[in-house]
Amino acid sequence: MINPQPPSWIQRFLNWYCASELLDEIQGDALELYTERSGAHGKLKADLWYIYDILRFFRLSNMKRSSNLRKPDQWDILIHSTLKIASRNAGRNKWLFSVKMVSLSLCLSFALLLAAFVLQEYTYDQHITDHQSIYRVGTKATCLGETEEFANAPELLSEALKKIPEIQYATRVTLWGGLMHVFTAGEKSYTQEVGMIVEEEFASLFDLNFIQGNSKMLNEPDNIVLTESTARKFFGDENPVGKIITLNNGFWLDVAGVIEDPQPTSHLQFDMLVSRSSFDVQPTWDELAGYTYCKVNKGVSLEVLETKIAQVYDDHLPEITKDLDINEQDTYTPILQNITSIHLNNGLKNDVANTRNVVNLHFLIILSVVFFLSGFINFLNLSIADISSHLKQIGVLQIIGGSSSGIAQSILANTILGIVMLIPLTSLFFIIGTYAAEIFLDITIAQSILMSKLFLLLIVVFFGVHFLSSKVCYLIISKSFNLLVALKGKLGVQFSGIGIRESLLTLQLSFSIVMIALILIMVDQFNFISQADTGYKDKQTLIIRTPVTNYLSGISTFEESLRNLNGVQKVSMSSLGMDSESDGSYFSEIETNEGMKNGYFNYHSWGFDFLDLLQLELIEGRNFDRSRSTDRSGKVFLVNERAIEKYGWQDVIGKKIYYGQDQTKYGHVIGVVRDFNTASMYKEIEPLIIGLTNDKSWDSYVYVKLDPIHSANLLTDIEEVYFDHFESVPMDWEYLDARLANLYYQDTQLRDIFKIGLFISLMVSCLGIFSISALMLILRTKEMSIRKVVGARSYDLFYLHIKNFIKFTLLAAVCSSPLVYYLSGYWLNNFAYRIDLNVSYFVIPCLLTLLIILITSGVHGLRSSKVDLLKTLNEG
Amino acid sequence: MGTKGNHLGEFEELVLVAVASLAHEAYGVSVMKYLSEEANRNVNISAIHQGLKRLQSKGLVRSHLGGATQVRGGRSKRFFEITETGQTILKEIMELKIQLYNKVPNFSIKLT
Repeated sequence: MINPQPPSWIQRFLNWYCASELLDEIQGDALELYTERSGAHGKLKADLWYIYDILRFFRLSNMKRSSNLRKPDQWDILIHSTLKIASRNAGRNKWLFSVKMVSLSLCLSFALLLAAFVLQEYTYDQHITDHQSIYRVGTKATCLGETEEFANAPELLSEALKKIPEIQYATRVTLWGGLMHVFTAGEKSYTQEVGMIVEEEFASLFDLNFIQGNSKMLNEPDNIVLTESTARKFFGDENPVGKIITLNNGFWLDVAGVIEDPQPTSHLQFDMLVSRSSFDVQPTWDELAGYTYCKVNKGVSLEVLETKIAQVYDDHLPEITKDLDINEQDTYTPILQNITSIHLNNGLKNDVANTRNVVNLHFLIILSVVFFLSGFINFLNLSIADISSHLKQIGVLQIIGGSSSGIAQSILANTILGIVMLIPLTSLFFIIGTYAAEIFLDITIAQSILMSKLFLLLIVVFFGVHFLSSKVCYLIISKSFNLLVALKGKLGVQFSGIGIRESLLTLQLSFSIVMIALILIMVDQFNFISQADTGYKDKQTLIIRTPVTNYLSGISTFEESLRNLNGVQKVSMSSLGMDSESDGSYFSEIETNEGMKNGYFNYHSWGFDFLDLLQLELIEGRNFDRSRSTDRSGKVFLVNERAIEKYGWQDVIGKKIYYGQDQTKYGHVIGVVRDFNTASMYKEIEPLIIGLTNDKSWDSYVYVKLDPIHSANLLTDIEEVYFDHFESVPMDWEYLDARLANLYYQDTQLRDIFKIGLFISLMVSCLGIFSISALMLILRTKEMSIRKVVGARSYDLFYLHIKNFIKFTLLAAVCSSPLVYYLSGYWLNNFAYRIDLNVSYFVIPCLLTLLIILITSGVHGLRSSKVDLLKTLNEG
Repeated sequence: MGTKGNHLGEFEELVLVAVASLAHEAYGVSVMKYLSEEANRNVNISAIHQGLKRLQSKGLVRSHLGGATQVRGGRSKRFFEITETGQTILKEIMELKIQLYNKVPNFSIKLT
């Protein structure tokens, strides 16, 4: 009679964990009991009992590795000798070892860099004490059923907020944006600096540190406070306090103090602060200007605050909508943003804060995780390859050491050696990476982020997982290691790790496919943007900023002198900056067939020649005309198609428009311009009213259209003309197409990061494929020879070799497609105008990956097909 | 491993006595059966192994392998034997206990 046997899985479990020197007694006793019980109680009960017993035996002291590690002397010797063996092995396989280390540390440092950057973006403004209780109040306006969200609030709001008991203090900040202000200190003029008009409370709200002077200075009229770096730029090493700065050649400001530069992780970046009382302007309710910040008392909930501020808006509704016909449905409500959330919210209009698109950040997080994983996978792959080609050595080691935990220790030693190599290498790559990011991508990572607890924790996690990965490696091998087989030198009969390695490989291939696909899509989208019909021509066009100075009378003569230059085709002024910064919505009243209507329009002005200069298309009516006196008086407007669509405007020519609340700007429509993008392709085209520039309403930009063929000196000529008119003010100019490309810098940044990432990822996966392919060649040489003997042709063997890789590429392609679909859709949704996905975005990356695989594994395939059968068969 | 001095736990003492009385037939299963029959203590086999291991590390028992049988799936037994130290300790414990019990008033054990 055959004895009943317990379930085989539990036997395998026991064999797996149990230290071999204990296996006899444990399994023997358990089986003896089993046999007895199965006789007395039946097989089922005996089975359960047996399982229970084996589980009870599952304790630390019975396990494979721990039984030996516990003896300190042996441990010391083994760690010493195995470390030596590990480093000797590394020395013998310099190539594999350095590839392994370099690729892992490249991946790790890239992942860490991304993580640091993402962390920095998520911790904006957290350096401010009490940042939890500081809010910015924006305005949500619903007008004619359309809702617009603004980052700014009515000017007088901050005064009203001060009366709410829950609010400690409120303050208003106005940023000088759009216009080019000229600051003159001594002999020199500067135009690039950003000034802000603030009150005393601003200093305490934003934790400003005064190096000289104090926050009281911001209450006195005609005071200016410089940041440290600006003070150095303007006055060198001299003490700036007491000096005078001239603003726009007509306004004197006393330097009253110096503050530390704003933190790089602050959403407000500025170079100087001017006291509000310097400006004799009566604030009103009906203009959304300036940014209102408030600090609330501890423990005040957001809901309470919101209802209180909403009440203020309601109370002042008549003043906010002054002189305008209010529709019943029109509402104005506050938008409360915690100061730390401003940076990652770029959906508000008129926002000058330093913001970032959160979609981009999500992509970077994904990329970071992917890199970490692929570094990890690749390391496992190469480690297994390394160890499986050293099985014989490990076998010998086992015999010498006489212990089954030899592999564990040799792997542990390998890991320790790895970490010893890895940390300096990773740090090196990381440091190089931070400098490269600063130089090539304009990304600076602050010291404070690198020292932050979260980041340090991240590093620990990264290395911890790496350590664990080597443990996994050990498990894989110890499960399948057979000493005798290894000593006989028969590789891979029981173990080669191929199965695990192939699935790891599939995962890594999927990453590569996803990245290639995403980059293809990004590149295509950028091509689409640059070639898309923006409605105008941007080539050969200069855009020069004009300073706000008392040279104003000279601006038309400046235009005239430019026009006279050889090589200049057309010159025109405009308030259009072609970027979102100069984008502003204004309230206007328009005449329609159904009576007067009001709504938000963008308002811009330009000169007579602007339409021709940018080759904008007129679809109805006529352009501004120099020869008509009505036009010169400025009482005429152009509108765009979108304005007509949005307000259902009919018979638009001749209709009246009141622009601005003071009604001084009114006139009638004389023409309709075909839609063109005034800002980036992230945004839809907005309704636009265009007035005529005149000498009294200066505009910020002068557009200069150049001849396609012009002399090389033309730019210096233009500069000379500029200095003739604006003396010492530095000239700030750009090519229009470069300026437009700059609008997408966050996304181009993302694309560049992805490109670098793709390069690293491809390199790493190529190495992985190469090593697997090489191992397969060794394992199957004999098999190939036999196949050849029985008549297989060379290309059969070649196909046999690469068949597997093709299979895994296809598998990876299937796995990655949904990911590509989802991620690309997520990114493209940023753009109001975007490309459509088609099959090629899924097929091309797969084909590319396949090609790369064929190249890397093909080498071995060829070798395997040309196997020298006599030699190999003789050996065995 | 933390051995609490040379003191024996109650369970360890039982196992040691079992080993001593089973003479040359003491191994995991036999000790377990002995305890369950003679001392009415039903313990899991893994606990017996653990106890034996501890006794061995304290030097109270010694062991050798042998006696593979078919019911054991060809696995050999680990036989345990009490050492000199083990016997001394067992004796000391016995004497100490009797001494102590004898000091309890109105309480006496008859030793035959």
